[in-house]
This record gives sequence, C-alpha cells and structure tokens, in this order.
Amino acid sequence: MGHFVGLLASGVAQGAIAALIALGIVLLHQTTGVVNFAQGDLLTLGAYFGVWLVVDHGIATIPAYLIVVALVFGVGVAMERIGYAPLRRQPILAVVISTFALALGLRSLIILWQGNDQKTLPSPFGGRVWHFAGAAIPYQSVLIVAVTGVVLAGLMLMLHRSSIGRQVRALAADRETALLQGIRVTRLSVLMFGLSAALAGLGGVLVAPTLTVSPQLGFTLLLSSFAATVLGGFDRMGATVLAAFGIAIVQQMAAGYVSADYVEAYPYLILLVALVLRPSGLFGEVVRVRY
Amino acid sequence: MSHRRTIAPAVLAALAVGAAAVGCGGDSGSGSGEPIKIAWMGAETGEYATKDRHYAIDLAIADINAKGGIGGRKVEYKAYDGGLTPQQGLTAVKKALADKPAAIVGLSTTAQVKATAPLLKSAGIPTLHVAQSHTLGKSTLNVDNVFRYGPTEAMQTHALTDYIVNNAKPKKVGLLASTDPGSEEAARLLRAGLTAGGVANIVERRVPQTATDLTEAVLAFRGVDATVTWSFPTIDSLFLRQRGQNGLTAPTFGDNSGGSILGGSLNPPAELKGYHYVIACDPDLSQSPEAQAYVAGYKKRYGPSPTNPQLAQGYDAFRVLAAAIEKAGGTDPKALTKALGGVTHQGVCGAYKADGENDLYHSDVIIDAEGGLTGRKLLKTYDGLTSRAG
Amino acid sequence: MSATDRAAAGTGRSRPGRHAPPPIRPAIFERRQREWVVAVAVLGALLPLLVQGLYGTGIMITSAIYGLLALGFYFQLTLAGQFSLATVGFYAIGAYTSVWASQHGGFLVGLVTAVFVTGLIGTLLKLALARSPLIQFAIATLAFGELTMIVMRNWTGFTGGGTGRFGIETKIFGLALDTPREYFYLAFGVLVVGIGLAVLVERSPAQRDLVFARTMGDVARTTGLPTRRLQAVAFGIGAGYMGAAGSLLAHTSAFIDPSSFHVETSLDVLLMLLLGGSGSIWGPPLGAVILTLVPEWLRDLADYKELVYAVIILLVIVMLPGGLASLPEKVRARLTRRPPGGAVKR
Repeated sequence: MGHFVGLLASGVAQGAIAALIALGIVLLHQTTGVVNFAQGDLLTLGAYFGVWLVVDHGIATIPAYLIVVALVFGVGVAMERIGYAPLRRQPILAVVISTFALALGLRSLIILWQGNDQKTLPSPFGGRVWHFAGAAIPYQSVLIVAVTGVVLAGLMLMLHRSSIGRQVRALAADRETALLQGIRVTRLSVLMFGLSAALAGLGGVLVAPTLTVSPQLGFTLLLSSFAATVLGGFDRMGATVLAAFGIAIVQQMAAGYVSADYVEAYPYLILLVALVLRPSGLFGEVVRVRY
Repeated sequence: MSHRRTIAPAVLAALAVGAAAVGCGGDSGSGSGEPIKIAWMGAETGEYATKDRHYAIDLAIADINAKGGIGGRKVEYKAYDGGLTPQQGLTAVKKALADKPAAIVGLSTTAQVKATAPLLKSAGIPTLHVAQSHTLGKSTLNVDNVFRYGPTEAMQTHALTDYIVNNAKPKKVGLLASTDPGSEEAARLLRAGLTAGGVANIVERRVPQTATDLTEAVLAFRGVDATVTWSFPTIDSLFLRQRGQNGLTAPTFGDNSGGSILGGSLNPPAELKGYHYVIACDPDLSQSPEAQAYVAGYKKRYGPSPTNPQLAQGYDAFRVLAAAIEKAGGTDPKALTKALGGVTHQGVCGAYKADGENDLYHSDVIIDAEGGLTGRKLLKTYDGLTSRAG
Repeated sequence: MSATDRAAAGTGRSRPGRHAPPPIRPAIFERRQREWVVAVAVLGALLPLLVQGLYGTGIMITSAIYGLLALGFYFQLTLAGQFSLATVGFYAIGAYTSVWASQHGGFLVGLVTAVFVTGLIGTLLKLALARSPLIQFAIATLAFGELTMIVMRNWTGFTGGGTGRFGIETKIFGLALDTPREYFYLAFGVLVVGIGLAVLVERSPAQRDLVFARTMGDVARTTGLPTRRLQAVAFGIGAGYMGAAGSLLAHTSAFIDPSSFHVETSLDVLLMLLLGGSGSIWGPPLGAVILTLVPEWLRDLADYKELVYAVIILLVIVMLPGGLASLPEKVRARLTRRPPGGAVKR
C-alpha cells in the first residue's frame, strides 16, 4: 500500500509541476497562437531569482516568491516586445523560432549572471514530510499541488468571469471577428506573455527546492509539459491539467509495476503513440473535413 | 537587375575569405626566449564550466612562473572550448594544434579522447587528459603521446567497492546509476566488485540523467544494507534528498559528485547522514606538504573557503608537465613524450608516475560527507591502483 | 499570411474555406539554377587552395555536413510543410547505418543504405503523423528524436552502445581516403550532388504541387492531388539528406558515439535554415556555412560567446525574416522602390 501511494503521490507532484508550466503554454497559445519554447528557461530564471532573493539576500519565502513572479512577469513582457511585437505580420513559425532564439539568449544571460555552478533553494518546509497511508510525501509537493489548483481556478475565473477573459475567449474562438470587434490585441498579448511567463517563474521557484538549480533545469521539465499540452488538445486548460497528471502517474506506475528499465522512454512513447492515434491530442477537437 | 548577380558571388567570396581567416592559425617559432604555450581543453561552456574552473591552473602557471618558468622560459596557457560533442572537441583540438602548443592538457570526456586520438597520434603533441574510461589505456588506444592524469572509473569503483565490502559488510545493496555510457560502465564494474566481495543480493535501477523524481528507485531500495549511486551531482543530490524523505537510513556510497554536492551545499546536513563518496583527491584533508602549500596558495589567491577538490588535479597536471619539460630539456614533442613516460612527480594529490597504460595517477580517497563541507573526514586513501582494477 | 492562416499554420484550429493567397516565389537565384550549381562546385573545389591546415579544412567539412542537414530541413519545412525537431534522430540513424553497411562494401554502399533507411523511416513517420497539426507534429518529432537516441544507446550490437564506433574506414572502390583534403572533397562532393538533386526537384512540377499542398491543403486535395503521399515523400527525401549528413559525419570524423548526437543539433539546423532563408535552396547551405563559422569567430569572446550568438540570430530573425538569401531581393526592392515580393513569406 505504501509503495502504491508513494508512487501515486510522486506522480501527482510531478504532474502538478508539468501542469503549471503547461497552463502558461496554453494561456499564451489561446491569445496569440504562439507556442513559447522559452518557457523552460523562464522557469530556470524563476528558480535563480528565488535563489538570489532567498539565499543571497535572505528575503522571507512568501515575499520572495511574489517578487519572483513579478520579475518573471516583467521578463515575459520584455520578450513580447523583443521577439513577438516586431514579428506580428510574419508567419507563426517565425515567432515560434524567435522564441528559440530568446530561449538561447535567456539561458546565456542566466549563465553570465549565475555561472554554471549548481545551486540549491531551501524549501520553506525544510525536508519535512507528510506521512500518509504508509507513504512519505514532502510538504513542498503538497504546496506545489495546492498552488497548481489555485492557479487553475484563478485562470478559469479570469477566463469566464472577466472582460479580459471574454476577449481571450473571443480571440480563441474566432480571431478575425474578434479583431473586427476592436479587441486590443497588443495590450492583451503583452499581458498574456507576462502572465504565462509568470506562471513559468512560479513553477521554477516552487520546483527548485525539490531539485538542483542549474541552467538546464527548465529544459528537463519542459518536455513533459509539452506532452501534456499536446495531449490536452492545446486549448483546453482542464484537459491539459488532466493530461499532465495522467502522463506523470502512468509513468510512475509503469516504472513501479511494469518495468523500471525503460523509464526514460515511456513519456516519449506515450506521446508518439497518442499522436498517431489522435492527431490533435486525446482531448483536442478533431476537425474532420470530408470532400 | 545586375545586383542580384553581383551580390550573391560577393557573399560567396566574403565567405571564402572568412574561411581563409579561420584557416590561418598563429605561427610562431620556439626560440629559447619564447614562452612555452600549453593548450587547455576544458569544458568552457555547458554544465561543467563552473566559475572557478581556471583557479587551479592559473595558480599552477603563477607558481611555475614565480620560480622563473622552465629553463628560463615563461609558461602560458590558452583555453579552447571543447564543446558538447566529440566532433566539437575534435575541432577545438585542430584549432589548438594550429597554434602549435608544446602540450595539450585537460580533455575530460571519454568520447572526445577517442575522437581525437588518431589526430593526436599523427600530430605527436604530448597530451594529458582526465577522461575516466579504462578503454583509453595505451594498449587499446595505441597512442604513445596521450597520458591520463586522473583515476579511471575502474580505479574508483575498485576503491569504493573495497571500502563498502570491508566496512559496511552489506548482504543486500541498492545500486543506482544513470544511463550515460560512463555511469553504465561504472555500474557494471560496481556490480562485479560487490559480487566478488560477497554481496549476494543487488537491486539495480537505471535512471536518465535528466530524471526529476527517484521515488520508484528509493522505494525499491527499502530494506537494503547499503546503497551505491553513480551518476551526476543533480541525480546524486536528488537521491540523497528522497532517501531522507522516505526514511531510507542505510549508508550511501557515491561517486565524485560528492565534491560538487558538498561544494555547492546542494543538500542540507540532515540529508548527508551516512553519505560517503570516492574522489581522486581532497587537498584540504591531506597532510602532505605539497597539498598544504597548494591549499595555502589557493586561499591566499581566492579567499578562505575550502578549495574545490575537483580542480586540484588540473594543478598537478601542469606541474607534472613542467617537470617533464625540464627533464626533456625543451619542448620537442618526442623528447617530451619520452620524459612524461619516465618522470616522477610528488603532487598535491599524491604521486604521479606513468605505468604501462600511460596512466600517471593511481590514487583515490574515500570521504565521509556527514559533516558537510567544513566537517568532512578522510576515511581511507587508496594508492597504487592500476587502470583496469585494483 | 492572414490571421486565419496563422492559426492554421499553428495548431490546427482553422475552419475550412478561408485561405491566404499562395506565396510568390522569391526571384533571387530563380533563373540559372544549374549555372549556380556549377559555380558553387567550382568555387568549392578551389577552396582548399585558399584554406589549408587541419583546422580550416575541418571547418569546411563541418560546413558541408551541416549544409546537407539544412537542405534536408528545407525539404521538410518548405516543401513538405512540416516543422520537425527529429533532425538529430535521422542524423544518428544515418551515421550508424552507414558505419554498419560500409563494412560490407565500402563507403558508397554505406551512404546509399543510410539515405535509403532514413528516407524510409522519415516517410513512414510523416505518414503516421499525417493528420497532426504543425506544433503537435513538431513535438511528436522531438519525442521521435529522443526515442531514437535511447534506442541507439541501448542497441549495443548495432551501435557499439556507449563505447561507440571508432577507426571507421572510408573506402571508395577499394581506395582508402584518409587525408583531410580527401575528406573535404568527399563531403563537398556529396553536398554538390545534394544541391543538384534539390535543383531538379525545384524545377519539377512536384515542387509546385508541394507548395500548393502546403499553402492550400484542402483545395489541393479537391483537385485530386495526393497531397499526403507527396508530402510524405518530400519529408522522407529530407530525412534522406540528413542520413547522408550522418554518414559523412561518421566517415570524416572516424568516430561516433551517442554523445556525437545532441538534441541541440536539431535547433542549430533550424537556425541555419532561418538565417540563410527558407525560401530558396540556396538559403540552407548559406546559413549552414555562416553558423558553422560564427561560433569559430566568436571563440575568443569566451563567456560572452553564447549571448552574442543568440543576439545575432534574434537580430536576423526579427530584422530579416526571409533570411540572408532574401537580402539581395530586399536591397533591390529598396533601390527600385518596389515592395519586396513574397520573398519573406515562403
């Protein structure tokens, strides 16, 4: 029992991190149509801001986390100005590729600032764990899951109960009509770039205490989030979160009960097979056109 | 209309000129007053390019030059970025060779040594590398002028399993290694060593070096008498953390990532309980006069914190090379290769003397990490190890 | 591209019925393609007179290999219309296949087998994922690349596993090549053949069909064009180019192991195409040469190297979306006060 619960709990924690990053990807994609490959490096940046504030300057956890989110929001806005705004009339691929270049630049700036040395960000809970049904669950993981829940609820509220949300949904539903209706895309895209970056930064500062902070941190986590985004159908937040948890739990269970030998291959296999069977993702709407 | 026909060839011509600029390396004679140039092939970018990566070699150069250099000639080094892949390493070595160095020091991955071996052989420039695979010995590589100044993974795994078998005396061991070639090879050697030492039951787990969760492995290791890890600092650190969280109290024996884990305080003291690791050397804990002089010089130059033990061998490599150049009476590649084969040097980390496999270094130490960076203890020193095993 | 088309190019949320006008082909290099191939071949053949020494020759060989990779990427992106991150996978498969096959009949057998095997795998991959929208496809190919590397690491019998393969021989009709200059002519020769074949495709009706299929997929299908099959074959040909590049990598460096193939290769090749320009077959080799040379020029910047590299790429993408190959076109447009054609839109 403890074995099963332990695997399940770590699957849920891994899923929550992937979901947090994936929500940022989905949010940005809904508004701008852009898939931001710099999301992983924004996460790394969040982790380093956390180390900088908490370890180097001794700032308390909650204000530090809030400052990190604000700072990464600012970086997201800057990325919109540098890499997206000038390319608005270009094909979407040009923007996606400029996010690759932005990711490169961001990573080299991080290395210039902090070096390649591995660092650590202490958890506000220390190493304490919650003993539940025979399994040991770190409080940091509980915090991650809780924050992901709150963020999801907040985003849902924003999308369905606010004017910004209506504008975002209008853009997602029918971009051209929304533009004709006078939705101010410029302002929205700045806001969404900032928000989605802030989500990555939050993910970074939350996940850092469970891992080691290095310039490669974000890239490692990015792939499972992409898998979740793709399987979730790219535009549905609920489905994306579900997919994130699903992938992580299946991976843990497969490693625990099927074979631990090919752990590294599982996520790729799941993704590839799922996309062959369901080209737009498990939950994506399939637009079938017959002629 | 004429523009498009003139611009494109102009671009081509510009590229050709640019390529030519790349092709012309520096060319200087090696008169007696000229400084001795050494090429440093470190990891200048990427995960291992830490901020202190040049500390020890800068110190070595300063120490050599403070004594008037070698035979009245100053020594200087230039760093070349070996990049990620063996092919990038090959390009860096070609670039270095174009600058005509007296020797090359510092190639650190097995793949880069294998990829550059044929080139180094034909160039004849003496090379000191620090890659770990035992397959890089002279008998398999077939290159006379390539030497190794660090321990092989066979030496390290031998020291570690010997220590485990004779001290922890476990019946059941959990073995965690990552899936990169070096760790795979080490895991094979560890398993062989443990089995030979009477460990009947070994639970093995392989994880990718990008793993972010080791719960499955930690749970599978419940009830073992000892755990052994062989991977990278990120994975070893994660294992120590999750081991503590899941109440796995059996002692852990790890690879030289321990140096980085303590150096970067990657784990709080509570998670270091029962953690031991093998490392090539640890000058802070050594009583030898060479090590104490090195530590004093290092602290004078870079501040009072403990030295990075991973760097000390870089210092020794330059000193060994200097001793060999002195012995050879110059930097003639053939004479220098011969001198490296015969030179003995008492360095910071211990004795350096080439064996039949062109391995210069034969020692390892086991460290008890429980006291953290400042309170770590030296448990045992292994000397006289040979490249294939003990 | 209109807003709808942007969405269509992205993750597949377009509604049928609205389409952007087909892009206009860039005029640059349009005519005299064959003469250009000859010019490049002659210039390249003379290069070893200018550039001597191991290092310079090595850089030229690397440029030629990356040129082939980038040409393969051109087939996949510009012709098959797919943004793929599987480059490193095809590169590795090509390299290992070539090493294996060349043991049974020399370099040429290895090269041809590598091209054929990677081409087949590429075609099958594209067919299996034929209905996936752009970004989903990109991420699926990223997974394919990673899976390939996992297989290559574990299939010890075929790849040598972590030990890798070394002492790889290069024999053509029994003649062993071993000097850097011979390696350069080999790599450059394969590149010229590759460019020549690409020119033939560019001038064939297939090219027009492919552009039609990419830009107006649904309409193209109504005309009876077998778009899916056409695109799969184009994607496979692209993979074949990458396989040839892998074969050359293995034979010119005489050593390969799993660390020779890094996921960043896929990104580098993408950046090469972007830098050179994805609108003409001359863009990819041009970008490959430049992006091989730039890091070498930046060596002395040490710690600042990567930042400067990223800034250069970002500047080109933002200021010159059509890549360097569109530069003459832009200059001409500026001089004649005519708006640039569709050069940037391909």
